[in-house]
Amino acid sequence: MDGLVDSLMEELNCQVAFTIPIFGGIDVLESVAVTWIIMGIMMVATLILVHGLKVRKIGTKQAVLESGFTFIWNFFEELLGKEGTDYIPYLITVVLYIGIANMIGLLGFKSPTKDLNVTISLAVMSIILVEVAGIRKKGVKGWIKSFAEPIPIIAPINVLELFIRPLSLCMRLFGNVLGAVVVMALIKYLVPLVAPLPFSFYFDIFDGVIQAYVFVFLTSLYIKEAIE
Amino acid sequence: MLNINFWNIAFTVINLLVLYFFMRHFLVKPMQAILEERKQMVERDLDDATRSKQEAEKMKREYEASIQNADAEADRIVETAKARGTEEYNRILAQAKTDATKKMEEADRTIALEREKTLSDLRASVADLAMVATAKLLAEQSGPQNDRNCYDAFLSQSGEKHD
Repeated sequence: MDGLVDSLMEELNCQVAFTIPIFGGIDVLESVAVTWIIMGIMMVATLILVHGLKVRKIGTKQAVLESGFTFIWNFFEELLGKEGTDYIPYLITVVLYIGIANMIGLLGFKSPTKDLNVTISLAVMSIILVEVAGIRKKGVKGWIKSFAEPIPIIAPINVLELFIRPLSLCMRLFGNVLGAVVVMALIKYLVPLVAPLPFSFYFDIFDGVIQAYVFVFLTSLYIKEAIE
Repeated sequence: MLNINFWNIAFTVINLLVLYFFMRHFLVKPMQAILEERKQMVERDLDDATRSKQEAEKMKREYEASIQNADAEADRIVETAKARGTEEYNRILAQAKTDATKKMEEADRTIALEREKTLSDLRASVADLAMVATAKLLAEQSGPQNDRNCYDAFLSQSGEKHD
């Protein structure tokens, strides 16, 4: 049982990758380091995939890239409408990042989304994006007035939403990934052979994609609501 | 796990912003550019195709019209030629008939005139002959010898005249 606890704690704790020796030492956590790796993967993949795009006589690579890009773009455009296309690049970045981050455990890294700091960052950025979208659409006055809609009495609830939404986004992502890791650790402890495989497909791949989808889906809905 | 660390939140935010600007510049913009270009190209090609088709149809209509005109023209020319031919034929035939009739009448008239003339000539000759014969008969004494001479003279004279 001690072994299980140790391995769980090992899985759950976010180690300090290294320390920047300024301001009395800033600890850089593993999640940030893994994020850099993910960024590297995404950037290199982007440069390779986007290199040499053509209008006519496209190759398989470009066909796959175009259909994938069009699929994601249309998905967000349907959610956001024509007015919200400015926010699609950010949402594409986030869905790719969370998707890869949730699945990078398969490569032996610790998922950055398992670290609360990362999900807090994502949630805070999402809520800032939502409110900025609202301000851009309605102006500062309109944005403030929109808290009193549909009736002024629910204004406190609308203000509360400003904190509830990012909190729920952050905790949903964090909790799902953390829960998946814990369950996988338990399964691996109980049955080390074969049995973890289908569960790994579910928790590492399917759940990872679903959580990325849910995160950007909800963010899109909030933006849509803000720019209506 | 649950240690919230300001610096790491800041790092993650910076990471995400860098990633966002990178992806926007290197993935979204080129993809949008290429898709937009393709869309315009397709629209242009479709427009061209539509225009070409319309032109082709217009030309086809024109050709058909001109061919029909040509047919009608040919028919008309043949009809005119036929009509003129028939007319000419009838005219020539009528002319020939008229001419023939006229010629026949002329011939008849000529023949009749000839006959009249011959008859009157003959009549004058016979009268002359009678006169001469009578004179001869009165001038000479009659007798068989005389009669004989008289007939001979008559016959020889009238034979000379009618030679």
